[in-house]
Amino acid sequence: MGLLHSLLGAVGLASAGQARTLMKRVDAADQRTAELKRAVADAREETARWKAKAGELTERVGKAEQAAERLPKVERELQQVKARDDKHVAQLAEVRDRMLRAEKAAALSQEHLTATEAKLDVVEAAIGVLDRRTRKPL
Amino acid sequence: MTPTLSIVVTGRNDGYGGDFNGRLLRTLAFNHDRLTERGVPHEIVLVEWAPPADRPQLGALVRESLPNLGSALTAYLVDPRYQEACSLNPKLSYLEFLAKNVGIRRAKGRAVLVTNTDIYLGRGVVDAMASGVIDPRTVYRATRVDVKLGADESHVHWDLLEDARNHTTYKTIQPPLYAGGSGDFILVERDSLHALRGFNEVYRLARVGIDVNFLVKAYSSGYHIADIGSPVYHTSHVGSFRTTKNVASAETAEAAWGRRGWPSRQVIYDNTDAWGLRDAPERRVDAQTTWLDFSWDAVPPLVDLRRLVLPAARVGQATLSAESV
Repeated sequence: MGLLHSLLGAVGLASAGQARTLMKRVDAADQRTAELKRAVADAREETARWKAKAGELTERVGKAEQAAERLPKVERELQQVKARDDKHVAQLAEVRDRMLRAEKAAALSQEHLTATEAKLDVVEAAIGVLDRRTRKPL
Repeated sequence: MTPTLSIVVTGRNDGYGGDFNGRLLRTLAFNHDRLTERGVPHEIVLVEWAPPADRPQLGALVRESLPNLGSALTAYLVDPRYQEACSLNPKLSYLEFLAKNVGIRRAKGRAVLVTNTDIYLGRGVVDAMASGVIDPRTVYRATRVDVKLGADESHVHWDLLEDARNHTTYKTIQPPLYAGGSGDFILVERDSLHALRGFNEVYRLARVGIDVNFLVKAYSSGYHIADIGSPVYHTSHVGSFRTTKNVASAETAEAAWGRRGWPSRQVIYDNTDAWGLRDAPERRVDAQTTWLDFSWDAVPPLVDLRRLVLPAARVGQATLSAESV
């Protein structure tokens, strides 16, 4: 077999077996090449995705950095709003307190007014009684 | 012997509300009999305020008609001149609560029930009195049930009174004052009642609302007001406040009840020490009858404005609302 192979080899030919083996190796190489091509395509896609993601993240980081730059200002504004709010709450409490005091004063005034009206009833009635008593003997 | 209970009522022989004497006799007999059955020592203090000179005295009529009352009845006849001398409202013909104060002042019982001459005591009320548990500084009130008893009221008994078919109105009483028909049932331990100096003698323009005014005074003085837990029964009659308050003419209403709509829940009083005509000269007519002669010394001042005051709020007590009478 070896001699035959050598003779065929000397004239640039190969045996059928060698040809089949070589064909198999070529097919395997083609298959491997196709797989590698797919892998390369996948890797490219993956790279594109990561790239997009990286772009997105970069954009978000940018925004976050912008927000972080604005944060002290926002905090200051927040403090101001909070201070204003506290002031309004205090004012509201004071107004409520004053209203309660006014309400009490009004109720007390009303009570005194009622008592005064009752006293006036008595005074008026007494004047009437005295008037009648004065007129009677005359 | 000190009676457990004094029942103070007032009236005169003037036919008030039609057949006044009949109502008086029926309720006195009923209440006396029920209290006697339950062994409650009691006296009936009948104050005849300004009795008409031309008619028999109520006390004499009662003794004649109800001999079994015996010594339980004490009558005070108040000189008619007190009506004119005390009144601040010439249209008001009967100073009911000054009359009741006369009786309260002179009551001897450990507890005093101030009521009216058309009120039958309920079974539970008599039971409560028999138990003898009358707390000091407590005003006991009872729901008043109006009953229609038909033409014949000669045989009244508890079964008849308690039969819901005979009830016309039933006004429940609510805390804190338990007001509503208050003049029909006010029961207080005597010394506590005397400490309050009875009913308002300063604002003498009205008859209606004086009873509620007493409750406001008691409440603001820190007294407890309680429902005794059983009703009393009232027989409707011509001219009673409940039946005629919305239909009587202004003149009739003023004569019967005096000024209406006065602030009886907002303004209270502080009677003088001489409340209840303390200084009226007393003249004994007979063993059970006393005549109170007229004296200006006994007449409360015409005007005493310092004695009209605002009620105080007390810790632990609900605030009174400005409800109308």
